[in-house]
Amino acid sequence: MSRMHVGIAVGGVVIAGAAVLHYSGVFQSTERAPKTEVVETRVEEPEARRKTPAIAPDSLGFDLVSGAAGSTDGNRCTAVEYAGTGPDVQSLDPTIWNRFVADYQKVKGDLIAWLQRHSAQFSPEDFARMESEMRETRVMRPQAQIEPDLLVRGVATWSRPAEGTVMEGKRPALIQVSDGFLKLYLKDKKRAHFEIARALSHVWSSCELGRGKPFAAWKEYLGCMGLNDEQQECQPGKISESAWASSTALASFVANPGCEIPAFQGDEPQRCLRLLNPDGASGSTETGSRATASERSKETS
Amino acid sequence: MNRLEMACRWVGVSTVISVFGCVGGGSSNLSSVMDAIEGMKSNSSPVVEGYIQFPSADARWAGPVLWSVYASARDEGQPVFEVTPKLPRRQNLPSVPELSGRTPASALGMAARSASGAPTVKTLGREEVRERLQLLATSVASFEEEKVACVSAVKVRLTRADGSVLEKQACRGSAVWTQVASELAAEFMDQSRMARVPASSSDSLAAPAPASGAPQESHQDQQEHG
Repeated sequence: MSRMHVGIAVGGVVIAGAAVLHYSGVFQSTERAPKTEVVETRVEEPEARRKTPAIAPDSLGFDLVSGAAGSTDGNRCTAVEYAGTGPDVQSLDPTIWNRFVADYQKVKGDLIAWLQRHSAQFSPEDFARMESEMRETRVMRPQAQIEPDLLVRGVATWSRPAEGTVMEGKRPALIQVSDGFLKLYLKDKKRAHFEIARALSHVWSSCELGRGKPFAAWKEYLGCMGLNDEQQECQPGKISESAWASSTALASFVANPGCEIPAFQGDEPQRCLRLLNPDGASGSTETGSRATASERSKETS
Repeated sequence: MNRLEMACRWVGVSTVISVFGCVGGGSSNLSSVMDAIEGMKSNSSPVVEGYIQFPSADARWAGPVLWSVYASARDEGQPVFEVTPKLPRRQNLPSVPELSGRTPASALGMAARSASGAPTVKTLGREEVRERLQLLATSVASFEEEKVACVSAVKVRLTRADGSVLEKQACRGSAVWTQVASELAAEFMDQSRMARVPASSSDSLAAPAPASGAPQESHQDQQEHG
């Protein structure tokens, strides 16, 4: 038998095998997971949608499920969360999302500017990593295929996708924003900007930057704020108190929440904050009323 | 393909991969995976009650509050769904009792639409709730412990009819089981918003009492105890 005959025979076997596998459904069973779409760009409105009247936000109902209207208790900030619309209700007008993304980028820029002003506090390696991690953080609206409970919630959550989840060769941190959070954005822009800054700042949290160990540059501040060694440790699977302590402080440096964070009330916490931010205190209504660049531009417009 | 179906496949595939991977990696890992599989096989008692919680940071940071979703399918009657904080009731949303034994994939985490186009939500029966809780238990038992500290977390506590309890906590979005928990939480939250009870007794959907077996903050890791 010639080589040609052998080649034809082998080729025939391969084709026949492929056909058997195809018709037996083997190939069809390898359906891939829905592709995660990371949205950080403007949403182009479809022609059909532009012709339909936008949904008035109030028609969706601003159902406050935690906290008080105005997100303060007196002058103290409290938890605030508006219920999301859920997976089955038409979402808010996409132009609101576009406005939100523009503000998100502005807040991110303010945080990077803060980092650059305070670069002396960090080693060159840490500074470079902090800037890179912040720039790479993505924002997206929750999708039913990913974490559908967020469609009912009203928070902006930070997470690091599971190992093996790679986007453009990297594993960037992800901030998921629900319609409920966009309601906060519509109702109380100051607080929403603060929450965006806080969500973004989680990428600079002690356990993230320390790769599972406390980050040296935050240690003095965390100790000053009364976090003991156990609270500063990075305990797997548990909420990191130090992450909330550092991200809340960093957020307050660039976005005034319009109320006072309970942990920052008093002289001692203000001293602690100056360890991180020597040129100013926290962005609360009384002690740190410095407006960010984005706030200034809104106030003058 | 539906997320839950994907999760089922992930559970199966990852279990196989884990078993083969652990053969080369060490006997302790292998034994823990085998223990989990054996545990799921040997315990055929149905999962009849589940808490899915999204723990919060300390209140002094003014962050999000703790969210807790509870589903119970213990008794012969309708399952019970409770959410804290309490969600507003759905307005003018007819419920559709499900007659078939199995929910179509399209109905999971999504609302169907009636002929008039208005959104409707299927009311889950006892067996459907048990199926879902069992799936969560299987996915929880098949994955390794969390390795990093969390900014936001997911915690589950599942109780079988024989009284044994399975608990686990991990970072949000860090594993397939946390996504299954998210999907079930969304579905149970939707169920809690439906008018299963007369309007006058709507208070019965208030937050479950902590003493009724809600997971405590001290219970962090996966435990199976009877």
